[in-house]
Amino acid sequence: MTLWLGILTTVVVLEALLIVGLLRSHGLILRRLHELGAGIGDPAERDADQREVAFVTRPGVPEPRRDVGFADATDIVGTGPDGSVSVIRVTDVDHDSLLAFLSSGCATCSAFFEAFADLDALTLPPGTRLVIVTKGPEAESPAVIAERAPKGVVLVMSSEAWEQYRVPGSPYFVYVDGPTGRIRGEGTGMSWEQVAGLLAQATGDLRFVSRQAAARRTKPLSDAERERQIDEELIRAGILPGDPSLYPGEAPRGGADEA
Amino acid sequence: MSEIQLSAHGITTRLPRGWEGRIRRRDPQLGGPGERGKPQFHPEERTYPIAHFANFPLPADVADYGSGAVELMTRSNLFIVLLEFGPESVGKALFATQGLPRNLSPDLFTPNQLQRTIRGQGGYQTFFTEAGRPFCLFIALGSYANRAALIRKANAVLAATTITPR
Repeated sequence: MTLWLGILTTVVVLEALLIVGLLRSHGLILRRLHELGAGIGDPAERDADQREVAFVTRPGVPEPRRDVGFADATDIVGTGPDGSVSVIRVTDVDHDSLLAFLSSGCATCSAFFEAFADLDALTLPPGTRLVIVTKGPEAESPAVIAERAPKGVVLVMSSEAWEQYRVPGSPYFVYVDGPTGRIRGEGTGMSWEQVAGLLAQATGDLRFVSRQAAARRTKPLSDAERERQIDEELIRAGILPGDPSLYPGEAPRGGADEA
Repeated sequence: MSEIQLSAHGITTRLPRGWEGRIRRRDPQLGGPGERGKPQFHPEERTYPIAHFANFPLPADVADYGSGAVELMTRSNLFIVLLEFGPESVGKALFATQGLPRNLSPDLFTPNQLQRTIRGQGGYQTFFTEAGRPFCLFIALGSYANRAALIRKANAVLAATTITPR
């Protein structure tokens, strides 16, 4: 009897220790989740030093805006480096616009000025119009901008447009849906490849990156070109990566996110 | 923003929704976009304002009479050019008409008045003097067959356009 009592006591004690351990780890998990802003309570009540998250962009890349949400897209009125005055429509039009806010003084922007000189190499959805927007003549030298302006790309100098689109720094890119006049994505990057990837994520439009994906592979040019054409035709037909029609007899592999 | 005012070099217009415009005067000392700063003319050559209005996206490089733009027009597009001439043209018979024509009729347009003949398109060209300044007005229609509807749009822009003395 005494032996049974001893065994029973030992089991109870062990179970109690196990339960305490489980409760403690559960409590630690809840506390960590709370610190990350999940769960009950207002994360704003946390200590200021815990709330601040150090976020630093690479040199040459502007920090993201602190305010939330996109600015309203507006048509652009500005001057050209040749002294012309222009009206550029980006809202209430059939085509989408990619506004590239660039400066002559930013080192990162040089890569974009050069990349835009070869429009055929850019991956842009068909019909998308690329517009370079620099600050106005009061902040930029028209002669320097004329020197850098890529041939065949619309360029307008307008500090007002920088304010209207709340551009935090250069380079900065804004993609505007023409028919609705709504901004579908915005952001920055060190290279066109980065920006194209960001725009593909923001808009869900794989045509920003489809050509790049083909170019990355070391295939013969004819194969890469054929693959690009097939990709573009499939996307135009609304068939995205993972579409069940691409895998007859198989279960669907998922959506476009897998691309 | 639907209607936008565009004004430069004494030419002012209000562009309706969807219309773009560019008014420029080529600077002999400075090239335009793409020219990489090279002079476009002899430094002593005099240049005069040129206005382009279009109801489609204007490309970066458009020649004076629309080459580079008119090739992109669809059936519903039109392109308007106002090109000023030098003061020596004032009083010449070609510029005798006073005032910018602001109420054009479809029978003025023909397929062979284009600067560059493009199948299916139509055009109209005239010369006039307003505010003591001699001008050429050239209009290209994306579709000659659709001219009645397109000319109504052109007349709306012309009616909203003013030219002031230098």
